[in-house]
Amino acid sequence: MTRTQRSIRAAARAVGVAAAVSVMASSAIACSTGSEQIERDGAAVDRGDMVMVSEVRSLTNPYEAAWVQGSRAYAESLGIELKVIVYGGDSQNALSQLQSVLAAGKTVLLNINPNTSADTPAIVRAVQNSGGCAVTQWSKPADLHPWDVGNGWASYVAYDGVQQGADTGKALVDSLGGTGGVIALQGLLANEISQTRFQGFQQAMDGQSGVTLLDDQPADFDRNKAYTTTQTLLNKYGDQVNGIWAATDSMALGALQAVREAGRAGEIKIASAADATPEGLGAIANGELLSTYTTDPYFNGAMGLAICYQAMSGALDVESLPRENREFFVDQSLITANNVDQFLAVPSDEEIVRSVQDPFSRITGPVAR
Amino acid sequence: MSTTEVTGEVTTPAEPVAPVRSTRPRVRRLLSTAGPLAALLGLCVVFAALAPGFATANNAMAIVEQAAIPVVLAMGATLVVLVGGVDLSIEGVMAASGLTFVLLAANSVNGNDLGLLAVLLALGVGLLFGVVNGVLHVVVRVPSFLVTLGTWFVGLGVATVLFGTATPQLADPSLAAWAGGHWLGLPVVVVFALAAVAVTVLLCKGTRLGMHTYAIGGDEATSRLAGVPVGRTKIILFAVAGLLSGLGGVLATIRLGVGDVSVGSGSLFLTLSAVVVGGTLLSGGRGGPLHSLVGVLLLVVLGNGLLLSGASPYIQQGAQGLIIVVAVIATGWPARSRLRVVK
Amino acid sequence: MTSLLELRNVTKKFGPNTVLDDVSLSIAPNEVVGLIGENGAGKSTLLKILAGVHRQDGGRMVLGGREVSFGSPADAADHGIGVVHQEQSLLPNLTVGQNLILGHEGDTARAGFLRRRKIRARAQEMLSVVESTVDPGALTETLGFAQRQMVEVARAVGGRQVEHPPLLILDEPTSVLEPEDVEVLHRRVTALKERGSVIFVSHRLDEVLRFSDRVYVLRDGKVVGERIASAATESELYQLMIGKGAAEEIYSSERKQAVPRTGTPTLSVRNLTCGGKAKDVSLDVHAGEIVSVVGVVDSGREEVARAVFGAVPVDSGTVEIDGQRSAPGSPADAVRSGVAYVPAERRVEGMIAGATVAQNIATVHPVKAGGGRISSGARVEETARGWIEKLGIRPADPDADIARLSGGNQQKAVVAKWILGDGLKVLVLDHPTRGLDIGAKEDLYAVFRDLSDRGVAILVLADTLDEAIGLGHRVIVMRDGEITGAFDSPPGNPPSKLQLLEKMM
Repeated sequence: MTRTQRSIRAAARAVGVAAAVSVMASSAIACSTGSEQIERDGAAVDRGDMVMVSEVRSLTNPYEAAWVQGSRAYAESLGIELKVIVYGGDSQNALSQLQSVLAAGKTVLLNINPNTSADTPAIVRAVQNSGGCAVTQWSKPADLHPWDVGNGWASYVAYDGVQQGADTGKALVDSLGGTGGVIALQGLLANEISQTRFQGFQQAMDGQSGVTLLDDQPADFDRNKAYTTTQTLLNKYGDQVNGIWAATDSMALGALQAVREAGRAGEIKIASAADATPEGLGAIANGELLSTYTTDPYFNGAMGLAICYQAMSGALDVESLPRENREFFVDQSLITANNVDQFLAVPSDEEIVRSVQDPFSRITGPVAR
Repeated sequence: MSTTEVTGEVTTPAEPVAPVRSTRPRVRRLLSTAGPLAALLGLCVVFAALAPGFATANNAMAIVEQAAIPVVLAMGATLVVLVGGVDLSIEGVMAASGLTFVLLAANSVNGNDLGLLAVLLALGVGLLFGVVNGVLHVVVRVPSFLVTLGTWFVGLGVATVLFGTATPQLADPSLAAWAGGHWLGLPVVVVFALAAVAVTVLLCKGTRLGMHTYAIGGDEATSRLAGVPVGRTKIILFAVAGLLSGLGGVLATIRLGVGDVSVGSGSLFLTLSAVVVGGTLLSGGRGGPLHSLVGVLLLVVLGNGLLLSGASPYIQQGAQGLIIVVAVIATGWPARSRLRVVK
Repeated sequence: MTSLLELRNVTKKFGPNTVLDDVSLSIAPNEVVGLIGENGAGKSTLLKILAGVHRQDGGRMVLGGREVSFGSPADAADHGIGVVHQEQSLLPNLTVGQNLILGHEGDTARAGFLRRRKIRARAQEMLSVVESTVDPGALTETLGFAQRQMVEVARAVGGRQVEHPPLLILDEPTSVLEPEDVEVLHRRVTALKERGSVIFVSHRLDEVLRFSDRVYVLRDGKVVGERIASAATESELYQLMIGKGAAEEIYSSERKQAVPRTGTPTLSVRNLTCGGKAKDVSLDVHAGEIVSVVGVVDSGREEVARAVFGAVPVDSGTVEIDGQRSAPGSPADAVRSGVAYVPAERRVEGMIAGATVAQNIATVHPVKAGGGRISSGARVEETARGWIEKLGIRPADPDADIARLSGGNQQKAVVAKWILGDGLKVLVLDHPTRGLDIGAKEDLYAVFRDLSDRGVAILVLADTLDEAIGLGHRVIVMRDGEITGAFDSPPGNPPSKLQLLEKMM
């Protein structure tokens, strides 16, 4: 190696170090919470200065696809730009994409389905510090509340998993005429919603004595795993199995496939506790699934943005909202063959916008923790 | 030393740098071939005793069926590993092929109805990905790890674009029947798996391509000098692996009944673990398709048995991880003295 | 035809360096021709041209009466030239039969499918040419070294049908063979002569003379001599190779001073049992003394050397440095006590390939090399340059990748890194000049001589008996783990090799 080459190598190393240091510094700045708070003096923000952001995990998930559709309908109705952020299950990605939008200058109105509870603090603080407004749904740490962080975090919306589990569990028990054996497929064991739904299911089981729980296994929200697990359990318990409860449509459909292959379709009742995906609804309509639950993703997608819009345009004063409006459960519906038709149709844009005129209209109560 | 007269310079030879003596390679080969098989039989015996419902014909059929698609994937993965590379793109190729298939066959989103042709075209997509992997690796000289990492995500991207906004459901009854149907008394997926195994075994043991594969895996530089067409061989192997990933994607999609970008989710880990557990060395040149078959069965039996024996799900996960670690140690043990540097 | 192979005025340049300069030689059918020369004399380039790895720049190559020029190793092989290299080039995970046909399967494969019986038959054919009884179905890694070599010879010789007899090139075939295997090789080469010709390349002049009919000597890219083997002597060949005087002088044995054996020995080994081979070994090395240890395989001498350095655990017994009990648990401890060890496997244990010469030299004593705790690159380079000059390392570039240097220069760098430390008391040398050419050996011997004058105690495991006698003040003989003899070797009255051999067997 010549002297020149060695100098080049040394220079490259120095540049690398400098780059690393600057990356660390900028992320430190970005992560710090106490810097540069933009004070909101309560003045309304002009529409042209707003940007709405709808942030979800992936668009191939029917629930989130519908959510984004709801966001879009609402943003278009007001003529405000909508940015859709898809973070693919990567928490870091979720935060960094959001920060790019925050840094662009306009006031951000965020409606987000965060990846995990642990992500929520960083997200809401980032929005708070930039003077924007955020509504988060589905998961947050139990000990952190919107009123602890500030007006930038307008509301946290959740869904009563216990109710979902209990209602659908009861539907299953009823369909068996009160006697028989069932197996339960949970989602991810460490996932909060998964736990609350199973809790609800167990409540339903405790409330009666004719139906017994033979086994419960996690199927990780994965259709294939639900299929193989059900196949194996059917072999284990044979005729003892009369019903299957699954925490989501995806797992219920996987179990259905296994039941079909075992030649016991129709004989074994299958209940899903959530999601109301088009496929799930179709299965209920032709009698293959007993139940599911909907939390109306179109409404969710629009409602979060509506709360923020009303806050930023002055129609709503976040500071003076009662706690129940800052952290609440939203109405959800049990779907069975009786009412499935109502939910098969996709709501029109006007219907969506109309439903969020009062975004708090479907509150069923404070988050019960 | 013989008692011939000593004339001229006599050198005292240093310790000869001889290769490992006969016993150690034999032990290593024994461990790598018989070890996993013994472990599999052992597990079966243990579970037959401990887990209710394990030792039934139904369960055996369920195990074989659950193992079918992983076996197809493992055959492709084995070929690539034998030649000293690795194919990480399995899940992406499965997704792309699966979506291609479902959108070309009768489905709920568009008006296509190509039937079997849809299957063949989807396999073609897999083949294409495989060829791309091979060419980038051989011609542009990118390590296979990196190339296939890239095509993995390209595959997922292609699948996402194909997916669009609505879930395409498979509407072709004859193809959908493959999911629960039987050919010659065996489940359709199992027939495919057996065919894949047969073809791969024939390739490895009975063809010149197979011999070249093992040669390159044993020592690429030496093979090249000996006149083995290294580049061409590798490209063919990656292409076959891509084809098999495509087949896996089609079969998995049929079973799901819908097009799904995450149809292959988790397959990479299961497939590579099976290859390693079965005794095919990641360094290449050792092992083979039958080893990987045993590896897949081992992992599927383990999962099935633990589930039936009522073990907590946490134990199930832990046990599967532990088995993999033990298998890697066992197959690598005899060579460890030569591996002074462990990466 | 008169000659099987003829090289006429062959020249080869790599950049500005002329590596082969107007080389002309000829090989008749059915003869064994030896080729000798120092490293850098052009031997390996010549072989590579014959093997098709390089093409000559000037001159002609006439094989079997026809002019040829090879574009690839496959090309050369197709013309009936087979090479057996020093490094093993068989695939251990394939069978013998597969190795024999690999790359030129011909009719053993039909439509891509292998024909087992054909392979077996062809393999048997090729093996019988070299009278090998190896089973073609055996897995190559189960064979012993000598058997593998026979398979390689079979592969090199057999197969291709050409009009002229085949030409086999054996490149350093005996460097890692046991003596009885060398015997076997000699018989086979003699048998092979009937079928074709052989070029035999080796550093071991006695063997070259034994195996060959004629010998060519290369020096600095030119053919400087051609001798009938039966009429030539080793020293004559040495002289031609190095262009200098007699071999004995390379040890500078006349410089050997009488060593006062009073006082505490610098290195004292007592009742050492270690490494599973050495048993109850005791020896002393005083300051400024060079003690050579000789012995055949499994004599235990390697284990003793490594135990002194802490590279092998001690089962029982003691090692004392300057009277201080030293049981080095590790090489790092040994270095701290002032012990240095130059290993036999230079490529694996001695140097860091890929690092520069300067980096390698600075490895053991970085503080000394770098001029302080935080080493300065410039100081390291300066230190390296000093040693490069002192030891005559070529090319004289501290930034060169050490892997590119010739063996002798690499070894000099390896030795430099050990001796640049101040506290060096004991230097253990494990086959330090193995595989090096005469010039490099001479340079290293001079260095060792200087160190001994400086007061360093040196323990050397010698490659050859001549080296042991020439270099050492004393020669110790080991057999089966024990010391069987010790001889003083003053200049002018050395022990005879026969005396040593008696104690060695």
